[in-house]
Amino acid sequence: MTANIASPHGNQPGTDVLVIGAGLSGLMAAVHAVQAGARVRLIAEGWGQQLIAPGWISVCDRADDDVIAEVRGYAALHPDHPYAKAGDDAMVHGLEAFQAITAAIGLSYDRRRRDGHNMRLITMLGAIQRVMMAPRGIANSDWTDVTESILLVGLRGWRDFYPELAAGNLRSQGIEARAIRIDLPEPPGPWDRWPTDLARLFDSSAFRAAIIKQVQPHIRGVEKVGFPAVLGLDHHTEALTNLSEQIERLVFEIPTLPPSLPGLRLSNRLRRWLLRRGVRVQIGHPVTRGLVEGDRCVGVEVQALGHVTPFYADHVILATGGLYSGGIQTSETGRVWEPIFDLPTAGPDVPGREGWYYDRLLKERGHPIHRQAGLRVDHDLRPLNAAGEPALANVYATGHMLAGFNPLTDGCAEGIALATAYKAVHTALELDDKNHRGATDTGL
Amino acid sequence: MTDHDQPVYDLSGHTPLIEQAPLARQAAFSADHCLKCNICTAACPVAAVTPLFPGPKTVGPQAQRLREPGQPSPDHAVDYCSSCGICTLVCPHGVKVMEINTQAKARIVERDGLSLRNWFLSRNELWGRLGTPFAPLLNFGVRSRLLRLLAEKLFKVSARGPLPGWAGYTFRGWWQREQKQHPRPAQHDDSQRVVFFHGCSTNTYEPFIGKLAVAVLEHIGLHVEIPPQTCCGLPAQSNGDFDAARCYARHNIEALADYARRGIPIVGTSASCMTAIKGDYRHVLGLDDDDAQLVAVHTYDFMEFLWKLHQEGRLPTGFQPIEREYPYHAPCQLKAHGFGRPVLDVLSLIPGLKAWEIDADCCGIAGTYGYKAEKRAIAELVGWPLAEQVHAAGAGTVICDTETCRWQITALTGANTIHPVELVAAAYGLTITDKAYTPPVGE
Repeated sequence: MTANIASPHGNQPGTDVLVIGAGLSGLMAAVHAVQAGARVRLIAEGWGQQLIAPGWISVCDRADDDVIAEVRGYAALHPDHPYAKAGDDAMVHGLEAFQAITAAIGLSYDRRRRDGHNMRLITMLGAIQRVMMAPRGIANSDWTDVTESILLVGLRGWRDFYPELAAGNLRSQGIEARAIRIDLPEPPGPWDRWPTDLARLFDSSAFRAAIIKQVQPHIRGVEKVGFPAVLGLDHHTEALTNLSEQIERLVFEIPTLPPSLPGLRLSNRLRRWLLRRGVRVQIGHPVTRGLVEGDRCVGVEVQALGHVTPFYADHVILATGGLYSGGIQTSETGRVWEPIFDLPTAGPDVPGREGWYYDRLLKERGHPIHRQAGLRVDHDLRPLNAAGEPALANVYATGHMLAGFNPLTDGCAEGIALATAYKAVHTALELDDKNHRGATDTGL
Repeated sequence: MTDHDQPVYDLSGHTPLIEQAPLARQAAFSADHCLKCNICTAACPVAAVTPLFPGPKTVGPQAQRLREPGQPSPDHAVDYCSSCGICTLVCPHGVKVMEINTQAKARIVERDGLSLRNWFLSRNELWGRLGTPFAPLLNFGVRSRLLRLLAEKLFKVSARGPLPGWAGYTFRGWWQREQKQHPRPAQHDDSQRVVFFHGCSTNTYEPFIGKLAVAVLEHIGLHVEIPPQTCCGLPAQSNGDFDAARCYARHNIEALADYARRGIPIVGTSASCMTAIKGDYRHVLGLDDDDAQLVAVHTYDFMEFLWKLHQEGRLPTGFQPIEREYPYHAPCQLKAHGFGRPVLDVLSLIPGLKAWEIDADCCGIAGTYGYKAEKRAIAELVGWPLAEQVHAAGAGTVICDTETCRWQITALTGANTIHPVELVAAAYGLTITDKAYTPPVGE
């Protein structure tokens, strides 16, 4: 919903950039804006989907050779795809900026610099997932050049990861894999353990020592050792290094059920980085509508406690997510729309919900609704109105909410989040790519 | 509206059922939106430090499936919930996790009764007033290690919980004498009036906060009114004593509704009291009548109000420079307001002053939680990330809005803690007469 306001709000004290959404693209948009020297506010109703996602960065999962070359080729042929809208440079710079900022906050993300190919990573079911970039712990599972056996370690009594299942499925694909289960040094409590409980245990060197002792007898003939992705929260890098050194094998992580530790580590570190740079980070209350004057958004309203609170800004980055994050709303009559600025979506073109799905749940390229229920944008990523014109001069959309791809099946959701966050901020602030400071500003 | 009244629902499908439910019932219904993603569990500062609490999802939306309306919680671990509310904030699907848990606590109290200790902690308003004439004696007791250990043994009130000292006089008493010197505007000019809600702490432990608030509001050119008022009710609510909390709430709504009707803003310096008045009266306690809503709409946290005035061009910005850098802790109760960080926004108007937000969800004290002997260690562990950042920054002074948080931060870090109104008053060059008060920046 938007409010066309009569009184001029243009001079209200506000920030240069207002980011709505705390997913990957929202957080990175805030980072880019801070690095450009802007005053930034980030508002989100809850944390973004990185907390339930595996944690890797899919850029183009189906690419067999150089991933970036594949994306460039695809974008050239598909002008409505978000990669084409953002442009090749934004994708390349967005990935590099992400790798730089994560390294600066102590969470390294790796990719195959050698050949630019996708890595081949191991999932909790023992499938092989092709991904371009991943947190170091997960990237360590890259199976591409492995010649010896892989050992998968499970934690007895924990219901979220079954190493035998994963190892069995790997063996059936011709990958030499074994499974063991070890005991937790801590007595079981009355409740299920969550991934975060285990991760906090792995933060402790005494706990890790007890784990290492149980794994060491099984490493003969083993090249890599895999654990569920719970190897530490606040001290993850230290935990990963320590385990690799003591077990004397490359240790890797396998993403398990939510909450996602890779996503939590990233969100926590980025939040602290943003707060120390003066960004107002506000998680918890929904933005209910945009305040529009002419063709500009001058701010937004938040349904705060007791009353509505306005926040003013020169530029707005809309990063509220897609169909499953509330960025795109649907009604039982089949209406599909963006609720803050009341923007139309690319489809479906026919009323009703009949055309939303195919008759089988697991359809290879997904269902029509997931490809259509997104915003159409111009080459500056400004959402288009029903007439095909930019709806607002200073509102930019990023990530899952864009039309033209299926974030569930296309294997490029994180790449699009990073490319469009970069493009949106650089367009809004009229930055030259060369002016981007990257992660020269380090430390927490 | 009590918990047991059955509302009549329109089943035609035109309005979602959840929106037809009374506000306090909507919390329970919101459990249907829970995907069990555990984002709240990952963010819960209590579950992070103790195995005694399985996390907000387990005792909240998950246990909610096993609770009939009016039935007690299937488990007692919910008692370890501190009601900090971080779970509700981080939920991407709008589940009112903290509200569900607080209501579950109340059902347990309804069934099993309130412990003597929790009854005691729920009535700080009473102890504040009754203790004032005996301030020197009580302050000796509060500082005596031996007596505190005895109190811990007898009443399970932690000897390490940072109790304030009594001021020896009340803010209300001071105001009764003082207000004679403050001219009133013409009766019809409500636009120049503001109501100050002082809360219990300012009334009996830290009257200087109230004096500074009055000085700032008058400097802005507003006429301050301080009607009779009582405890906001949050301590009783957090301890599950909804009867007492509703009693306090009704008293305040009655005292403030007339002002709200006239459009006079109600402002308070304790962010947690303001959370109760703006939100909990309706959403948790179920007092959802026109007056409660009107009061909520017109109630502002002190710094939120200053920032609103600034947005309207009504805040004098002739601030004297303060060449200092401070870390700022945004209390969990303040985060629940959803109004951003007006402290940082207002302080950024003061030349030379640099304030940055500590990355911490909660200081651990969570109202009365950190005063309970069995929960004190948890409260200290919850506050540890905050303390680490204060130590790492080498900060001697921390800014924070809420009184118990300030006392907790001082106890954890040894740092001095100040309310943001102290800096605003200093930057305006305002002084107050108070033997117990030292301004944060030199004369």
